[in-house]
Amino acid sequence: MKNQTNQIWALLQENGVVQGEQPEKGVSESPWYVRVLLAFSGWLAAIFILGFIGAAFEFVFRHSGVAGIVGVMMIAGAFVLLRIPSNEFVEHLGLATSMAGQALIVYAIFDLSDHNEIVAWLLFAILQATLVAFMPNFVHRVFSALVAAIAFSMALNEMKIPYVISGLVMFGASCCWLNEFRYPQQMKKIRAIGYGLVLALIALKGTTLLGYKTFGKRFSQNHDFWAQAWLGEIIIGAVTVYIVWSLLQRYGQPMKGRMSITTLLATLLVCAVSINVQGITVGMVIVCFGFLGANRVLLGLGIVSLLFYISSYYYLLDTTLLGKSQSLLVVGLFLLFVRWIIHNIIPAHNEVQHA
Amino acid sequence: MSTPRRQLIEYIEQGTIPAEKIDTALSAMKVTPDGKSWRTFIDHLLLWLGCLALAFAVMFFIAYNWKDLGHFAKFGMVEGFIVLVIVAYCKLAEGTIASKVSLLVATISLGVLLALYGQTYQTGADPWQLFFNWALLMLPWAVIGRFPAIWIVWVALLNVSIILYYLTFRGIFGFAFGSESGMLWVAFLFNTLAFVAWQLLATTWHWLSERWAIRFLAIGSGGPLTWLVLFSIFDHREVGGSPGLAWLLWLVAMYYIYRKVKLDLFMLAGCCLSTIAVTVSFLGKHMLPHGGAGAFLFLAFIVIGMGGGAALWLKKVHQECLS
Repeated sequence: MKNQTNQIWALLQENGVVQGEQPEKGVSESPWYVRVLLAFSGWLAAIFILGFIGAAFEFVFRHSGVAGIVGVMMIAGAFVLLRIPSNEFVEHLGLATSMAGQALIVYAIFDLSDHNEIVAWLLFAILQATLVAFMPNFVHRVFSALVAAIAFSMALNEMKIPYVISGLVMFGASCCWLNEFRYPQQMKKIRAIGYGLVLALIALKGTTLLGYKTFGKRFSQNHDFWAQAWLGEIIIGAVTVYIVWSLLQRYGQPMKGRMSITTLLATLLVCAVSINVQGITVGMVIVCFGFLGANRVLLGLGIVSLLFYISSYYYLLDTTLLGKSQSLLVVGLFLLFVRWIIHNIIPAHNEVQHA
Repeated sequence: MSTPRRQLIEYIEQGTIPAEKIDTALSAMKVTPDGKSWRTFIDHLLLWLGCLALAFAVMFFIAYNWKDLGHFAKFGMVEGFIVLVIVAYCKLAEGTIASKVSLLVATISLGVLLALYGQTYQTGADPWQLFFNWALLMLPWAVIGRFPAIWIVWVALLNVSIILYYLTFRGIFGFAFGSESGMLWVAFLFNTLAFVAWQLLATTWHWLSERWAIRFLAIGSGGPLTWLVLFSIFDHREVGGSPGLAWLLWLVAMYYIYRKVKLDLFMLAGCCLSTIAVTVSFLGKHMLPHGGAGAFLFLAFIVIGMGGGAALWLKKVHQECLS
């Protein structure tokens, strides 16, 4: 392993990026599965902490104001704990305390908002967004970004604008992953928000697919412009085109060049033909985010989400199997046609080799 | 375990790489792909998705309740598609992505053909037989394909047939293992066998050493066993055999292999997760009904202690591995 690190350093020196001796090895970032373990045990401990509060201080759950105050105090305590550097036990305690505190605040918000769910979900989303900004912990930021997006989607659902959320979350995620290395001081924060939004995107798209009938029933009679399912897919398509456009610019391709026009046109058509096979575009974009930064976690998430979306399409109840088969046939043939075009029409030497 | 990406992130966060040279560093280490890599990637993505979409289109088309289409047309369509894909496989150069994708599409289409056969002739076969026969008939393609994804499909099909067999004949497994735990025992034993065999064969056939596939099998082995132990904690009368003993042996074996012989942090993290789940369930089952508030607090600290201890140990092993 030391050899590999030395090789990387030597290559960086060759390219004039670094000079002199290799610095001492710092504390490396933990792999994703260690972070999942951290999140799981934090969540489990939070449940027991809530159980403890419920059993020992029953009055906290009887008065939503008290629950809110205790929740805020717990989050403040967690903030102090999470500022202590590199102590695993304190980090776990901080995570668990914060999650339990958030649960108490949610209880208070829903109770105090007099069951006005739009206000409650919006307040909850704002709380989570604040935690993303201030909580000094990677796992906490991923969790809060995920929950903030889901809370915001619930608020939009209540406002009868259910389908625009995926496009908005995808735009947020694209801002993070396209600019991952642009602000070195904020890299960790950007990555955490990026992961949270990608997880939210996968979950939201999956829920829309599986719960399509429910949403469909609820909104089928609603002819408002903002309540139409196709609007969500159009926003996703627009964000996808924006992502491709940003990438073409980054790679120095002239916007009026043959390469850029063909690529943008192909992207637009891929989005258009896959409008019925929901999730395909989202999955492809996540895979592209992963490839852009050699990020295997995102690549894995993208592949798993694509397999999930294409399989769960079978259970979409508002279209016949014949209709689904036709949509998939069109998508399949079109994707292979685009591949054929890339092989036969766009010459390989047309591309800029470096970013 | 340290990828160029991770290493670069570390250098950037340390401030070793100045902000104006980050783009050069990313390109030099190929963290940011060049035009050629993008072309290859898009080519593979379009090929995979296009072919999968076509295979699923055939599946949905056949699943549609056709009244105007005769048996001959339906069978002709699926068989024709399979022949077409296999001819494509034979024509394509061996070992290319396109040839592997063709074989995987043929494998999926074979399942469609078997389902169509069962549906048309009302063979009366149980659902588990469909998946079992599918796994059996695709075996030659898996052998010649030398492609981990096809083997994982094979393992998944056998898992599905085990579950469906159990749901149909729950009494048959009963004689050996008790009642509902039979399915979990068989799934655990089969997946463990597949996991061990895969690891051993990977030393000879390097195409088998795809890390994702090995991890997938490890989850297939550890998941049912952990579930069995949880099952035995919450309803011990329902569980036959000795899941606790098997679980302890499994943990010791995993620790020895993946800590001492061949370091793999993912496997160790999985073992930690399983240990936390089992320990907390055991303590919760015995303490919560009588312990009151104190029991909740104690369990919270146990989870924090175990989670923190596991993370600390895993990070230490990770640093050890990097240095």
